[in-house]
Amino acid sequence: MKDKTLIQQFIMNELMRGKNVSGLEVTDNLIETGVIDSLGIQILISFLERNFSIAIADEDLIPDNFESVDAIWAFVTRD
Amino acid sequence: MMDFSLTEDQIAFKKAAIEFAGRELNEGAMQRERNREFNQAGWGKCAQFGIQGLTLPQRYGGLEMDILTSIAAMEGMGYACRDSGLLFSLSSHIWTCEMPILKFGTDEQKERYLAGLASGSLIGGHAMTEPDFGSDAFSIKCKAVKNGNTYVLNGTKTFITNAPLADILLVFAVTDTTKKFAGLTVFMVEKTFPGFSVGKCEELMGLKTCPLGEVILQDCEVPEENRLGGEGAGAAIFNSEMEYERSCLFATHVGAMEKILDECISYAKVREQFGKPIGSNQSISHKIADMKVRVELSRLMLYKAAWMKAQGKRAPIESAIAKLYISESYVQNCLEAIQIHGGYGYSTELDFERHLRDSVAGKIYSGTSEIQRNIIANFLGL
Ligand SMILES: Cc1cc2nc3c(=O)[nH]c(=O)nc-3n(C[C@H](O)[C@H](O)[C@H](O)COP(=O)(O)OP(=O)(O)OC[C@H]3O[C@@H](n4cnc5c(N)ncnc54)[C@H](O)[C@@H]3O)c2cc1C
Repeated sequence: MKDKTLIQQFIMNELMRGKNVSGLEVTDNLIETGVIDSLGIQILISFLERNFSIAIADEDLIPDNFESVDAIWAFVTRD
Repeated sequence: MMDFSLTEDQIAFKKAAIEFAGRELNEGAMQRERNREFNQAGWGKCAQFGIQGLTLPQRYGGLEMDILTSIAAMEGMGYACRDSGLLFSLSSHIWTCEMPILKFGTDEQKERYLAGLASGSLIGGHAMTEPDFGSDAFSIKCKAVKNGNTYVLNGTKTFITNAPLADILLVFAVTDTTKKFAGLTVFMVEKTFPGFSVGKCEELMGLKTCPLGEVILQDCEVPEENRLGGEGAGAAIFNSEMEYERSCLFATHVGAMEKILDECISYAKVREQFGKPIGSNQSISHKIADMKVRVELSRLMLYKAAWMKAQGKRAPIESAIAKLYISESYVQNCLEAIQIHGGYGYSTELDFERHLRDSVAGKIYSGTSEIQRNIIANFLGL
């Protein structure tokens, strides 16, 4: 069952490693805290495309869609 | 099923590009290199042949070629054209200006700019790098502040390919400082906009025929309709553009490497020392074998990355590998070619030292070799 925690775990394990940020709530702003940077977003997109069997268009790579775990979840599960 | 061959049409078009470049672009190339002179007439001839419009839809006057055919043509251009500065200028125009407008522009923006870019009457480029931010591109400081229906841009861009001649540049600027990389926005800035000027032109080690310089934006007024994509779309546009550039721009390098290889093989067969061709010495023939390996692997990586883009796939690792491998192989093969040709190779009469000077830039622009390795390592979870 793919749910929000899959995204949360990935971000904590892959994108927060080595960064001075502790804990991750689903509403935390990932961009302002620097958890997702310009390279991190590309790694995250590859993960989301692979794990949620979706193709993400470049046009959708706007900050609103990646601001928090909640926002990412809403984005990958939209119709 | 996998098919590594080009179609007959692709082969014919590549051949036509080789014939065109050999016939039309080389006369006076050495002199222009010495004078650091852009081949304006050659630019026009390329437009007539269709180079500037290779990938653009026919409705804008383009040839509407698929990415792989475009790559094949540019490889042919790289094989036959002795003016890498012109090729670099063309490639920047295609991959860093036309492609993002085609991909992210509104219909109105495409109508306004693509026909001119395809016909070569407009020259384009992109401006991200600043004096204090190169590899760390997303930390740029150039600011865009909205004022009614206009954005006011302030900042300086450096090392901008085509800047001294460009009619339109895609300028990256910060619209929201709180959002870091997600606060970047792209603007299509015309050279006639108030507050736009070109600063000093860089004198480079190579690519001397390519116009390149500084761009100064001083209270530069850009109408809202010249924003490419939404506010905050800058990073997505830059990443998309970089994937195309890293996947496709280096086609001309593969062509150049093939030409250098051909010349080394011929020379190794006819140049005799100690009563036998130098190519009969294993130390020379193995150098040439290694050069051949680099050409073949470069081409495979070029076509794989370009194929992924043609399929509409994301290719962050593949484009980084292609860019890294091709650019470093080009430098390596130039050094080997000089060595194989001995003193003549080192002389400016032959073209190898010029190739070497031109090739070194490939390890720096479109993200340095070190940055490509960082990207690959990051994707490997390191
Ligand atoms: C011929 C040419 C054409 C260009 N055209 C354009 C153009 O059209 N538009 C544009 O916007 N820019 C253009 N550029 C600029 C180019 O993109 C930058 O030069 C490049 O990104 C490197 O930035 P920098 O020169 O500031 O070097 P720096 O970023 O200061 O890097 C210096 C050295 O440090 C290394 N380094 C930096 N950070 C790291 C790191 N994290 N890990 C390991 N090593 C690191 C680099 O690899 C490099 O070896 C062009 C450059 C050249 C040479």
